[in-house]
Amino acid sequence: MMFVKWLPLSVVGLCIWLLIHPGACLQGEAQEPPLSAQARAKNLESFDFVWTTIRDKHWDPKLGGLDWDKVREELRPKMAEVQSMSEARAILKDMIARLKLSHFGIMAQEELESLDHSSSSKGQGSDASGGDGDVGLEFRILEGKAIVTRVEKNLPADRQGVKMGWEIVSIDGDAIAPLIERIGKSKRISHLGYIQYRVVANRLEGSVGSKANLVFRNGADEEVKVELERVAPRGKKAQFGHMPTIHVRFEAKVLEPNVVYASLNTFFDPLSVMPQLEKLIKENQEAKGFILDLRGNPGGIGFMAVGIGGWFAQKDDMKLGTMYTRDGTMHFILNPRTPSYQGPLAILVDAESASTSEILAGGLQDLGRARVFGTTTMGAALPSVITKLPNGDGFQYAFANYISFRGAALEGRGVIPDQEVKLDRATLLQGRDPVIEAALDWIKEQAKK
Amino acid sequence: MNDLRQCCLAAMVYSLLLAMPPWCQGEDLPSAESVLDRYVEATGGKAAHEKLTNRVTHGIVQIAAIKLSGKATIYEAAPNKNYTAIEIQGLGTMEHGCDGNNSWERNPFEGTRLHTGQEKEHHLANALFNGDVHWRKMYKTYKCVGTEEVNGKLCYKLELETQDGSKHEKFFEKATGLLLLWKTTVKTSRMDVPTESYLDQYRKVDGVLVPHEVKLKQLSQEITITVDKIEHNVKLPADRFDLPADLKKKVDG
Repeated sequence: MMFVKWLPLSVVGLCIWLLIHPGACLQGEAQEPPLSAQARAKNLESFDFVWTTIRDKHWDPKLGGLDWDKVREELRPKMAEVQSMSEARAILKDMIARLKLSHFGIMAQEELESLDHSSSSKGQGSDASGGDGDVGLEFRILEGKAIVTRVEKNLPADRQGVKMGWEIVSIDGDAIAPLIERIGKSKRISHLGYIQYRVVANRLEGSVGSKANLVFRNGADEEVKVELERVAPRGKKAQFGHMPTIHVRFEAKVLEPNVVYASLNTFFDPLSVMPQLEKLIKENQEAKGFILDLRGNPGGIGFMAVGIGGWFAQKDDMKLGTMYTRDGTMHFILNPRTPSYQGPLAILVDAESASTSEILAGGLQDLGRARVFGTTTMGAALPSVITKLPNGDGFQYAFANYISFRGAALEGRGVIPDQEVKLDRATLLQGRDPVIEAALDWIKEQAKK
Repeated sequence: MNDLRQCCLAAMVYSLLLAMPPWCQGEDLPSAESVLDRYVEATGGKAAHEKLTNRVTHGIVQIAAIKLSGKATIYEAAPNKNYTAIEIQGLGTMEHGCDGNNSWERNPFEGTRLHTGQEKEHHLANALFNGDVHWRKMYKTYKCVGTEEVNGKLCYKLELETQDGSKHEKFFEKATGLLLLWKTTVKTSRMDVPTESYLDQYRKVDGVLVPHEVKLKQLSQEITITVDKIEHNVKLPADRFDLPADLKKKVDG
């Protein structure tokens, strides 16, 4: 019965580590009733759980010099007095914010319990925020404005004639540019760019069947009013532990001249994604280049970076980086697959690429195996897990630090592209993607060599 | 606690005793050999263990804190073969095997991987079927270093070293002789993983006592394995412990 000594549990342990930016799964909070005495007690228990977990599991026992006992002395009495769950969550968020690190977050119980919220479980109407209905467009914050960067064919935005490069002026009456500007002036929030992105994204999201009223500014600088119905989100539905339902999109195509382009929106559903990648690599061994688009990918299961990297490894013992926990040091070593792809690899990233995306892109960049295009990533790359608190809320906490192969911590710094390429409205209005174009140009140059 | 303080004080005063762990002072400890032999007896005796030539264990793996669970099936056979498959929802099947000469693993992320170096040595050194009965073959050094409580039960603490140099600490309950806690470091190519295994719910199966619940603490997680069913001396397919085809090709050169 001594099987425990060789169970592949260390691999299981690896696979459950999440490298996803918390904001990717956090949504707005609803109003809630006053707290009962029992609920207040549960909140105190939750406070102690969060405080103790960070004290015992943070990779740095000294917590970077933070006086953790003092934080408890200051905040616990406040938790004893809270009158609502919002106040309780605010205190927990305040406590973890003192660490000034990514991958620490509190997820409301309602959200944790609505794991299967992809159907129309929430009310209809334009205020149905928090659902995962999709209007079929992607956007980025460019120079203080929300600009459409992609329109999915045959989805509501496309059917209503929305084009790349259009500016989102307002959503359901909320003017977007002033909102972005207001957040940009905040001095107490980290990852400002990401917060700006999320507040707009939250307004676009809603339950399937609900409608969003948008005003766009088109290429001729004219305002265009459009009503978009939210439809079932694209991608394969995946479930993982305490995470809300995730829709995973792995899309691949061959661009001229014989360059493979693949995009992944999040690192989940390995049972579907990994075989698709394997097939793609095996069928395109002769491709002139491979473009892996991780723009907007907030991360996911950290071990997928190792798995995907293995398909581009050129030799044994290539290491993406090293993770440091209290228990020891873990090396992210690639297992070279047969046949791995040996040609030029371009990875596309942007400010919304985080965590696992950064580990994969930063590691392959450090190894000299990939050239990275786009803009600097989020700088949020700490391995974490999500657990349930006594009060029912979810608690995400990082328990490890991650250092990329060449010795740089990705946390707070991000992956700096080899070739910075920014999106701009004028190019997008022409239906072009300058980041993909830059990667293609580089691959063509490599082919000439 | 007062006894411990007195022991520590004595150890400070009598420098000759400094090399000995303070909790040993004044205690009449049994030899490691007697504790290990007693464990064999407590779990059914050598004769009962040696009637068993293979074992198939079916169980559930749970990581409750993050709401993940899966099914585990473990095959072990004399003299030193094993194969494990753990199916985790949303992740797929994690496999590990040892055919007596080579150890390997396969998972949906990395595909197959043959163990080499210290990782291979570690797995081969720990693959001995009924290793607890044949502990003299498994361990090159062993000593009883004191007593400690594990979950409120007083235990003898043993420090052991396997043939590959791996260090282990085992805690055997003083009252029953049963193993309650095993601390070791699992060696992998990526890291050495400190692991604590708490064994509980001993039940008799085919004449031997087997723990039916194991709680593992490793990598900041607690993983519980609950055993549903154990079968012994089962007719196993001839290729049960063979390497996966691609690795066999690699090994055969």
